[in-house]
Amino acid sequence: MDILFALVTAALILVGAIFVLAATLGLNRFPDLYSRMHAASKAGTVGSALMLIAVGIHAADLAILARSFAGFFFFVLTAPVSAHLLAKAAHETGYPLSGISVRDDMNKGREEI
Amino acid sequence: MTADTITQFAVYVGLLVLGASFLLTVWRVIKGPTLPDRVIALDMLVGIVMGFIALIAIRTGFTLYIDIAISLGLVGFLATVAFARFILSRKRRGGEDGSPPEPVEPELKPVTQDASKPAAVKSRAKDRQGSAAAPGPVPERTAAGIMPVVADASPLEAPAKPATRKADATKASAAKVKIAKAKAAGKAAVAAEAAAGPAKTRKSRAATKPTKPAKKDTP
Repeated sequence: MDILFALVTAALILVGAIFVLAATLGLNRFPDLYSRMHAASKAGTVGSALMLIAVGIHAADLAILARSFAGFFFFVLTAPVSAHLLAKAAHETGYPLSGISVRDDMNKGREEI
Repeated sequence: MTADTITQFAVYVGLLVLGASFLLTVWRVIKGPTLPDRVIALDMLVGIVMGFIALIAIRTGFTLYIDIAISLGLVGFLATVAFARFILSRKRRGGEDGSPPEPVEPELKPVTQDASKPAAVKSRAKDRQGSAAAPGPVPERTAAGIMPVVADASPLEAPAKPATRKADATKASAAKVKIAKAKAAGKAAVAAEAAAGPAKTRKSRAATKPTKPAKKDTP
């Protein structure tokens, strides 16, 4: 039983670390503000949240597991909100898409005004 | 004993990977060409530090660290929202934050810009500035005001494919398209201003206008 908990904890930690590493690679490699945001706000959030769950499972205590799940849900719910707000603010202020992007639907209404 | 070994090994590997990710994200904070890039990278840093705190909680056994991670996430969320509001209220500046690709582009762009339509730009600048505004530095200001809009899209694609920078023909056509876009944006801005303040007299517009480029010039 102890080994099972340890294995689950180790798996969560490693998967979370891989997610965070993927998010960071995306943050450095993507050409565009908005695609970087796509990498950072999804994969990075999931990576950190998985590590929080790993703490709760490692402790093998219901109260601590509940707290870690509270942190998990808080982080997973707030990260998209802040990323969306930031993307909208940047797009509205006029930060451009990369040259290889194909279409920008939000730009349509603005040019016609 | 073995269970503890497995967990400690996973924590060790996780700490290494998180450290590498942390350094890469710090690199993006340093390099990021625009302010929103840096804000995203800072948001990502908060997430990585939350992962660090979780791993240290596992390593040391103090589960109180979870609360610290939650409060750090709250602070990071609020900071990102505040930064988003700040970016929304702030105007976008040319040559922002001294990014490396920006100084390269103005050498290329003003040639096409001057060749294509200098007169239109100048006349538009004149009626934007008002006749009473200082006539001397007008062309300089238009250069400073128009160029960032023109040169904005290129720095992002420049690091992705530096080999195509020499291809001037495609670049020139793209630049023309961008100039047209910039003109449309400027026209929209002028129209919006005209719609916003029809009650204002010409004199008051002339009085209020010169403050705007001055604000834009400050770093």
